[in-house]
Amino acid sequence: MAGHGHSHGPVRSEPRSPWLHGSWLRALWVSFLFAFIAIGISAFIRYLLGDPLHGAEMQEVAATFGLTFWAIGFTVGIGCFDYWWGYIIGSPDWVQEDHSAHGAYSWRDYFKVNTDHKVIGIQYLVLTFIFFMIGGALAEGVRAELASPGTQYFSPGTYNGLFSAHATLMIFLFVIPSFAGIANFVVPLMLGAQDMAFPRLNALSFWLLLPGGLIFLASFAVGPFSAGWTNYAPLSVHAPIGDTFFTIGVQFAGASSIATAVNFLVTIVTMRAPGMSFWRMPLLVWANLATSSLVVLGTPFIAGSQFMVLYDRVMHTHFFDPAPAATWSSTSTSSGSTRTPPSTS
Amino acid sequence: MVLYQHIFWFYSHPAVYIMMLPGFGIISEIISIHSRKPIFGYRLIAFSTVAIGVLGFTVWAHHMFVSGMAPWLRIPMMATTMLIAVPTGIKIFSWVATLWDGVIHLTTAMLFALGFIFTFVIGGLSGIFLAVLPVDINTSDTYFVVAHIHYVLFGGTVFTIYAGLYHWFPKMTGRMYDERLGRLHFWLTFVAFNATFMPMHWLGLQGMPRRVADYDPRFATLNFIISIFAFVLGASTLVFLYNVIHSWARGPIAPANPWRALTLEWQVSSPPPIFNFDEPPQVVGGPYEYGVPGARHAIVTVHEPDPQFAGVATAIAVAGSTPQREALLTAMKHILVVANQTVAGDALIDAVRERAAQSRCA
Repeated sequence: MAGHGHSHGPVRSEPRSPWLHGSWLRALWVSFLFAFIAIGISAFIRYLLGDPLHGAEMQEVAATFGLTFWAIGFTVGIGCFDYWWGYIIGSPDWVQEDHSAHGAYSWRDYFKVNTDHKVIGIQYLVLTFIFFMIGGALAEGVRAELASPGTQYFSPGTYNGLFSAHATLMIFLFVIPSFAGIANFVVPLMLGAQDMAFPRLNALSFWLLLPGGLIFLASFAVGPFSAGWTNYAPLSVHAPIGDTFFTIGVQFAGASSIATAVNFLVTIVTMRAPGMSFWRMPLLVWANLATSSLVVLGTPFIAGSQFMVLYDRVMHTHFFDPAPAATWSSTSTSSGSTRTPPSTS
Repeated sequence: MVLYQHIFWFYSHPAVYIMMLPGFGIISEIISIHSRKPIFGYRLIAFSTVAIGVLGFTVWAHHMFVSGMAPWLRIPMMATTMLIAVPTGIKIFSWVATLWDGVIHLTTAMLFALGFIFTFVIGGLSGIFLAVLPVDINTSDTYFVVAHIHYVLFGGTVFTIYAGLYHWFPKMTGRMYDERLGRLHFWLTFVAFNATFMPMHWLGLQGMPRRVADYDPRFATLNFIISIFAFVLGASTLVFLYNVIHSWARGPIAPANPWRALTLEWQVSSPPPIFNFDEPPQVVGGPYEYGVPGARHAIVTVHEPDPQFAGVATAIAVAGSTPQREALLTAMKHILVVANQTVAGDALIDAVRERAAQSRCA
């Protein structure tokens, strides 16, 4: 009889201002507010330390903090954290079994934070297909350039950006999340469950994906990352600023992937219907069990590798680049500064 | 730096199985349902899926044969890489054995599944070539690798995504897609895909390096042909896009279970009710017992539809006051199950329940 406790749709008493409650409008201003605050704090610390507030190093710092907090601000603004935040501050509107954001009653609900695994599945599939089309268009750019020898449409640098972004979008924003989309829709139904184990985490996983993808695409505005989707160090450590966009975008796509995988593991282990033993599960569920284990064990490694590249680039940690800092300064482009980074003492 | 590559590929080789295993799951569903036969070797497919996952963590350095890593690591990594072909082969043979003597319905989903088997076997074979150390050393960073990755990632993964999207489209949207456009999409994709990526094998063997914007004029003819078919391949996506958008808006209303599948998602309405099931279903058997007399996967109980409230669901969004909405929401308990089906009559359900209870006791 578990089903009967849950038949509540949206219970909203009065219309709410889109500026202040989870919406695209709030996502817009909160994301940029977060970004500006983060850049402001890092600039202030640099000012206190007597470091220059212009030049390549400041750009790296601004990109790192700005992009990271822009993406976090986006998920906050769109409303992924509203339920948890309401719980933390003891909001009078907060209710334990809150299904107000569950299920689609009109097409508009697909553009909001929603905890229904079926809505999230379709959100995933539509968004990833858009990235598939963009990634495909980048590939057509590559093929246009390669249709005849010599340089026709793109400079070699842009060409490198095209195939790097093509692979990155296809892998991190199409293939992996579109499987998450199909599985989101199908797996809970196949198990006889009412939803995923953690519906709000599920929504957060989806909304992490969009800022990740936008960060990849935004790199074309500053000169695309061009070290391939593999982003091999030390090439990537010395690459122009577009590479920072790659290392940060990967973090959000990867976090989305890990959170979804944890969700699938818990769902498959704990939410099977009565009589659904492991040997009665459809093979798609088996496949997702294995895949989710791989994601949970493996994805932290690429997150770690890209963090180390990012630290090498921004903080000169020398994980992958054994050369002394002076070499970095002499090889970095348009850097007004030749100083070594301050020691941590 | 070899350190970066080791860390990177320790994820990124398992990542290729992250990008492939769900596809294997989709294909297992589709092959069994659309050929009306129990899946061949259910447990072996499940085991091999897990085996691929475990083995996937032992092969990463095959991406690094020419990176200057410790030379002794090459032979063990070559061996584990070739070992992975065994569980993958188990799956391929199981699917082919499922198809054998089945009643094959060539729906678009099934076409993509069959196309997947064809292209993925080619991609798997070039993968075995690349696993062999002397071959890999000579083909590293050439178009042979580009051809291989696209045969497994496009011909493999993307075909399974298309297959899954067509297969579950009625369930997700409540509408049927256009089969004729679907078939057109498949054949355009299949032909253009092979014409795009097959010649890349030859370019690679002739030594054309990847990731370079310019190339030797002797590769010009093949590259021109590849580019033409790459544009056809891109255009084929537009057929799919049109089919999806048009069918989603205007397609014929889908029944709950258009493919006569046994798994639970097909036992509820299309699209499913907002909370999926009125009561937790009782699972009584395996999910693939197609054509087995008396076999049932699960009993799904639904409540009597109440036609009085039909159509109220859309009124929820515009209803004014809180009590009004509450009243509508209470009513929705009945509305949500309007389109549901029971799997059989009450007497039969009781009989199956009883049998299930007995088999649990035994």
